[in-house]
Amino acid sequence: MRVVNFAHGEFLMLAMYLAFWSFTLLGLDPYVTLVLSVPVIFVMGWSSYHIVMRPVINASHNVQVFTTVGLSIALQNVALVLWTADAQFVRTSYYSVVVRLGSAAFNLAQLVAFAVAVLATAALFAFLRWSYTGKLMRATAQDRQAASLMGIDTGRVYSLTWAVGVACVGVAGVLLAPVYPVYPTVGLQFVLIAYVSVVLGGLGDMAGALIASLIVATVEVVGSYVIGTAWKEILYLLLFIGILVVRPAGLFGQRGAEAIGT
Amino acid sequence: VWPAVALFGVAALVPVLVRDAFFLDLLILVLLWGATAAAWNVAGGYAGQVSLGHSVFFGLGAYSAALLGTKWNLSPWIALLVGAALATVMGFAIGFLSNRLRGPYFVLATIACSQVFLIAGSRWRGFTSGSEGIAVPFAPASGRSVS
Repeated sequence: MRVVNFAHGEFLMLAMYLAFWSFTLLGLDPYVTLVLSVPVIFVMGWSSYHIVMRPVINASHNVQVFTTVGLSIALQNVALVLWTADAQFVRTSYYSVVVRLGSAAFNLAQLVAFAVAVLATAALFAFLRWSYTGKLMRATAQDRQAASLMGIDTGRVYSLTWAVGVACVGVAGVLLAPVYPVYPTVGLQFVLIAYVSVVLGGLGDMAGALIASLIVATVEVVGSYVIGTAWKEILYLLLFIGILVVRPAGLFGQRGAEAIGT
Repeated sequence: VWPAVALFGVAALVPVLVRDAFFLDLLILVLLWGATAAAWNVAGGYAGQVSLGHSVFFGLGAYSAALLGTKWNLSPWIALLVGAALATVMGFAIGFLSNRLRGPYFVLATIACSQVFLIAGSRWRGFTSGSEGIAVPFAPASGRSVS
């Protein structure tokens, strides 16, 4: 689609609130919520595409940036009005369970998040690679006009792509809910990591993004060990700026990818 | 030119005529956001580069005024020049690094810059007082009371 969705983090925030409220009000475990929240977030993504993005899908990049930034600010403020700025926490019964592997200690929720994230990425990769719908998405991304000449309904493919992307972030949000507190602006810090990984891996390159996210995580963790946790975000942000300056197409991407238009 | 002269002439007379603190504050904020919008418009409107990192330059000016005033007792007039100079230098540096990027990539680079400065401002507690911020004492140069 070549649309950078700046409201991606806000869908993460909504998914985290969904996990939080179904935990506090209905007593549902966040991992049970996953079954319920993925379709809910998918529908949210689908409707947000049709309400907000469809009118500007053929507009210039700047218009699309303004639209998604506007959506992001609107969603943040809706959450602020509805649920206040207080950080809320999903305190599950297994909150403090620690798993030891050799000399390393992991939080159980973090391990589950890691495993499900790898599975979800593999599923998404397989979906894009082998399913017919995935083929349609890739064809539309590669050449929109040719795709529509081959009889692909590109409008539907776009809305489906958008909704699938938002549903993925819904999975991530529910997985994060037992580990991190949730507040209206929580999305930004996670979505920044996502941008860094995707640009580092090359836009539209799924395997590249997976490798890049491991690099970013290593930089963050080693950095916070060496210079202290307070400044850890600065390291990958500087890495990000450096990569944008030196190799904007990412480590594995083709040169000039950042200049390719629609 | 003449509409601008008329506008700023009227704006200069306003503090003499308007005595209401709330209304004066409102007018000052209108001009402040107007100036900020005009500054953003140079990059966003004329150059077509959508920057989401303009808060960096706004913050540099604000922090130089607050720090020079509270730590070194310098007049805001000097801080005005220092802040402008600092923001200019930083604008050259960020512009040199990011201006060959286009579209969403430029937006991402400017967001990253603003985040770097946000983290520096909130974590360098010894110098910037972190998230609490710096309280600048109200000390008007010429004693004039507003109701």
